[in-house]
Amino acid sequence: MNALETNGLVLRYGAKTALDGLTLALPRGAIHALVGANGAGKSSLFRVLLGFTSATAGSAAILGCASTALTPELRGRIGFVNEEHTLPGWMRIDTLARLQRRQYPHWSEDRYREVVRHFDVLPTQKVAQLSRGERAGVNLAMALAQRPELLILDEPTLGLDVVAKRAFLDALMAAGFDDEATIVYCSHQMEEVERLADNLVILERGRLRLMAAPHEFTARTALWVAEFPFQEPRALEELPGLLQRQRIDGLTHLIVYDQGEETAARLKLLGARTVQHMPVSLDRAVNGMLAAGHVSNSRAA
Amino acid sequence: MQDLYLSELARFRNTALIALAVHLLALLFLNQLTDPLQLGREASLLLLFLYLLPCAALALYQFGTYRQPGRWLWLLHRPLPPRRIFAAIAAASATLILAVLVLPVLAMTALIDTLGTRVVDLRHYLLAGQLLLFCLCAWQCGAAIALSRSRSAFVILVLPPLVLLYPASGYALLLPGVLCLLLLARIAAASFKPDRTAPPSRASTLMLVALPMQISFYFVLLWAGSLTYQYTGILLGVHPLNRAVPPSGGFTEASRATGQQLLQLGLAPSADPRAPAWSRQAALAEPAQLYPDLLRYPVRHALTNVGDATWNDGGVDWTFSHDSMRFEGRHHITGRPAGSFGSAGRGSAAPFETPPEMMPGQGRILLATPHHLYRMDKDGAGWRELATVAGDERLAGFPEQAGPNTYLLTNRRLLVLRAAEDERLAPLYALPLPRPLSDLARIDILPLLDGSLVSFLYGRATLEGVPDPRQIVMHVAADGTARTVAQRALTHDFPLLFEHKDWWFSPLLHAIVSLPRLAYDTGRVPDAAPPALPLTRPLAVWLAALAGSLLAGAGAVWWLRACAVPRPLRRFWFASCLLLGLPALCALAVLQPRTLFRPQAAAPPSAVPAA
Repeated sequence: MNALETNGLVLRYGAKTALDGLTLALPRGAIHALVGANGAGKSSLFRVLLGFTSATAGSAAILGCASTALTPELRGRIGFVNEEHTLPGWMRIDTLARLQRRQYPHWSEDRYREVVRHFDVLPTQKVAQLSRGERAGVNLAMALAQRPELLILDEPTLGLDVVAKRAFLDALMAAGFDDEATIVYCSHQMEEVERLADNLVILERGRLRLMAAPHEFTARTALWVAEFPFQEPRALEELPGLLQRQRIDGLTHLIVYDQGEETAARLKLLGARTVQHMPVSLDRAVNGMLAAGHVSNSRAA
Repeated sequence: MQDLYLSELARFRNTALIALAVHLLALLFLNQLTDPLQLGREASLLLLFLYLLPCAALALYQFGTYRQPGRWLWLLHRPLPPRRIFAAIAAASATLILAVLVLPVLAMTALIDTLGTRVVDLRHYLLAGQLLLFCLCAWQCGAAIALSRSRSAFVILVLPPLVLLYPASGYALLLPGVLCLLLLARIAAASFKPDRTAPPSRASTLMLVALPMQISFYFVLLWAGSLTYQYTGILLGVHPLNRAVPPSGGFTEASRATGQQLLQLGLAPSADPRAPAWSRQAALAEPAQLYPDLLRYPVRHALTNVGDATWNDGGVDWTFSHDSMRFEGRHHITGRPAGSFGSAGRGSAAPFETPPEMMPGQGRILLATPHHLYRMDKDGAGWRELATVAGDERLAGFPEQAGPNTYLLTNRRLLVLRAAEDERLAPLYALPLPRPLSDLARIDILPLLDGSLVSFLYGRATLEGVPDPRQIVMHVAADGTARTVAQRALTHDFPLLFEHKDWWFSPLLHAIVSLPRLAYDTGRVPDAAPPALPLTRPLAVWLAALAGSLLAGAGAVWWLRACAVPRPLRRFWFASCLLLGLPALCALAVLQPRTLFRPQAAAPPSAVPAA
C-alpha cells in the first residue's frame, strides 16, 4: 500500500489551476522530497490529501483511505508540520504538549523531549514568546512525538536562520523513525533534500514532472560547457534533453538531462570549438529542471 | 476535548476579566440611573442589542482567526471528531458569556430582590435565562457566518429575532429559544469540518441547514427589496407617504385628512338628501377622533414591559408586579415599601385579571384590561370601573368624548356611553363594527342635533394585502339606530405587487414566518365579528408568485449544472426552489459551491520518472 496516492487529481481555484491531473503514488517507508517552484501545487496537494480542500476532479488517498473520508483515528497517524508553525500563541509549551499528549494515543514523551532539547525553550514559556525557529522546533517535536506513520513537512525550514535550520534538521535526523514510517518533505532547500530524501518528486504547474532518487537524478543530469567561436546556433534550442542554457563569460553552459556522451558530438556538429562535460549538484539539476518549465521561461522544456 | 475547552478559556481569560469589570460598572451605573428591571420595550431591545453584539463579535473573532489555513489545519487535523472540537470551543464560549454577561445580570436581579424594595418578579429571573439563550444564539450566528463559505450567510442573523423577539410570556419563549439555539448550533457545526466550503454531506443535515437559511433570505430580500423600492420612490418624489400631496382618493389622503375634511370626503358620494347639510355642518364643527390604540395588551410574565408599568402618586412609585398581579408601592426618595394597590384600590391585595395597559396623564390614570376599563378615584384611593365587556369581546381603545356621549372601541363594537353621576359610564347603545378591527384606521364622530355621524376609515392593513380600503359613514339616530349613508371606495396608493409582496415573493415561506405570530400569545386584540376579510389574491399576484417560482427553478437548474451533487440532493434543491422561490435559490448559492469543471478522463497512476 502506498503512503499517498492521487489519480488524475485536479484542483481549480476559479480560473486558476493548482493541480492539473496529477497522478502520483508514493510508497511507504521512505523519505520523499517534494520540490517545485512557487505555485507548483505542493501545498494544494497536501490540503487535498488531508481533506481540507475538495478536489475539482480525480481522487486522492492517504494511508489507503480516501482523503474525503479521513477518520479521526487515521488523522492521529498522520503528522503535519506547515511552514507557518501555527501554534496557539496564548498557550504555554507544557500545556500545549499536555493537550497533544492526551489526544494522540501513540505519543512518545521521550521522543518529544529528545527533539525539543535541540531548542532553547522553557516549558513555562508561551508560544507567542518563542522565536520562529523555536516555534518550528516545538512544532516538529510535537509532530514526531505523535509517532506518525506518515509525516508531512511542508517547507518547515522556510524563514529560519542558518542555526535554527541546522537545529531543525539535526532534530529531525536524530528522531529515529519506525521502519514503516514515511516522510514527505517539501522544501526549496536542496541541501536539505540531498541530506534527507530517498526519493525526489518534482512538481511543475500542478503536474508530476519527475520522480527519481536524488543521486540517480543528478547522475542523469550533466553540465556541458561549450565554446562557440561565433554566435550561438539557433538549433541549440532543439538539443535533446536541454533543460537550461546560460551564456557566462563567452561560454555556453548547458544543463542536459538524460543524455549520454552523444551530446558532445551534437554540440560539435553545431559548431562548438570546445566541449567540456561535468557533473552537477542536486541544486543545479533541480534548478535546471524547474527553470525549463517555469512560466517565466518562454521556451518549453 | 477538556484541554481544548480549557485552552479556549485561557485564550480569553484576560479579556473576559476586563469585560466583566466594565459590565459590573455599567450595571451599577444603570441601577443608579433607573430601575433596570422595569425598562420599556425599546430600551430593553437596545440593551439586548448591546449584549448580543460582543457575543457575535466573539465568535467572528474566534473562527475568523481559526479559519486561517494554517490554524485551521492545526485545529482540525487531530484524532478528535470535528463536532467534539466545535463543542469544546462552544462550551468555552458559553462559559465566558455566562460569566461575563449573564451571571452579573442574575446577581443584580437577586441583589435588588433581596436587598431592595423594587419589584422583582419571577420573569426577571427568567430574563437572565432568556438573555443567555439570546447571547448563545448570537454566538452561534457569528460562528455560522465566520465558518460559511459565503459572506451572504450573514442573513442567518435574522433567524433568532424572527423566532424569539415577541412580547410573549417568558415561559412560552423558553422552548423555541432552546430549539432555535440547537438549530443554529447545527448550522454552525455543519460548516465546522476540514473542508468548510463543502456542503453538508448528509441530505438530512443539508435540509436542516437549508430551511433556516431560506427563511432568513426570505426576510432579508423582502426587506431590502421593499426598502430599495421605497427609497427609489422617495428619490423620484413619487412615494405616496413622502409626497407633499398624497394621491387623491387614496388611503393616505384619508388618513391624513382632518375630521372635517374626511367627513366631507365621505359624504360627497352620499345619495342622502341631508348629506349636503351634514357636510356644511362638518366644516364648521370639530369632529372627535377615535383610534384603535389598544391593539395589544401586556402578557403576564412577558420579559419586557410593552407600555408603562409604573406610575407615581404623591412620592410613591407604583409598579405592576406580574407575580402578585397588582401594583406594589415604594417611596421614591426613601425606598421604603408603601403597600399594594390591587384592583379594589389602595391597600387591596385583589389581583387584576391580566396586566393592565395604562394611560397616564389627562388628570386621573386610566387602566385597561381586555375586559375592564378603570379610572382612578378622585381621592386616589381606588379604581372606578368605567366599562366592562364580556366573552371574546376586548377593549380596543381608551374612551373619547364627543358631544354629550363617550365613545369606546372594542374589537366587536363601538360603544356609546353616557357619564352617570357616580362617574361610571352607562351604556346608551352600541354600533357593530362594519368591518374587522385589524383593518380599522380611525373613527370620526360628528355630534348632530338628531344623533351623530360616524365615519369608519378602513385600509390600515392594505399593505398586508387586505383588499378594498373603504370609508363608511353612518348616521346614528339618538336611539342608536344606525344607517349607512355613504360609502367611498379608496384607491390603492401602492401598486398591487407591493401590497402583496410578502405573499407572492414566497407563499410557503410567508406561511412559515407567520407561524410564530400565530403560535405565541402576544396579547394582540383579535378580530371578533365580523370575521376578517378573506385574503383573496388577485390574478397578477398569483402570476408573480408563479414567475418567481419558475425563475428560481430555472436558476437552480443553471446553478446545479456546474455542481457535483448527487441526484437526490439535486432533486431536493430543484423542488425547494420551485416551492419556495428566490430565497431558496439564494440559499442554494450559499450552501452549494459551483465547481465550474467538467470531469476529464484521469491518467493511470504513475511512480516512474515523468520526463
